[in-house]
Amino acid sequence: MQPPRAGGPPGRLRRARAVAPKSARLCFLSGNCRVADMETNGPVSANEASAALAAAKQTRARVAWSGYPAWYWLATGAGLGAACYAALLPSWWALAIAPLAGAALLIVARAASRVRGVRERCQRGAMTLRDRVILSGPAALVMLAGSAASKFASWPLAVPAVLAGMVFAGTGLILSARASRP
Amino acid sequence: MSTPLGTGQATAGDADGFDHLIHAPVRLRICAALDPVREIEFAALQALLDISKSALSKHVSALADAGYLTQRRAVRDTRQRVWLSLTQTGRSAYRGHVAALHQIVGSAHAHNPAHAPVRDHPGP
Repeated sequence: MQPPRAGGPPGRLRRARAVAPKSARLCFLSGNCRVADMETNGPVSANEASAALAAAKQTRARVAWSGYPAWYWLATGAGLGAACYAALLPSWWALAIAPLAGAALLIVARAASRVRGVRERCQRGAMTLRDRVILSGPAALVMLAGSAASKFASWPLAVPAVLAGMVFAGTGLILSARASRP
Repeated sequence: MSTPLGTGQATAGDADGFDHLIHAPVRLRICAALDPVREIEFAALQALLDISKSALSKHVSALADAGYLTQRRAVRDTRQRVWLSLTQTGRSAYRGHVAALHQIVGSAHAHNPAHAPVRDHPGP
């Protein structure tokens, strides 16, 4: 048989009820201080606003770079290298290889998206223009320099393509690993 | 946009678009993560923000109650997973809030050049 509950709930809950009516806003002061710290009810200073913007920027950067599996960068680098090589070939090979490489890159991107648990938007992804330049810029430079140098040096056309793919994969791996750090 | 948690105090947040619900640090980061993408899986977001499952769940519920966020359940590899995405209301509220933060920093910078504004942020 249960004892009669004349005074309402036991001590801890009673304390919580005593705090709640004093303020209309959501208040966790009687229970969990850490949760109370998460609420912002007071004035917002410029420093706090600046810190909030920095936190948002950092989070966006983490979304853009972290979570990619290593095979994504390697496969994408290989695909880009193949596409670059096809573009350098002076015959109909380019027409045959470029669509295949493009389709392979799309499949790899979809598989990586599933593994990451992030579905990017078609038009604007998490990466900013600056991120894309940082990622693709070195590979593009290597590609251009390699193809220009191949006119003077006697090395196969595949060399700049392979170098560009390797640079792309390396850049992606490094930036992704850096963003994953806490 | 004002929210259920907004106190209506005269603050620097008088700037248009300031949202007290979004301004809580974890919720701001949740919105920042969801804004540039279509949707993120709950576990991926948890790993990204490096917070506990219960804390994330609490903040997701708060945002969902305000109509800022939607949850979609889908089965993958025989396991049910929850995908989170910002609604149109949530996206515009977040962008308005970011614009308000920029305004606060900018106005402080105008009065006191020692405050350097944060750059390269996704604006509205």
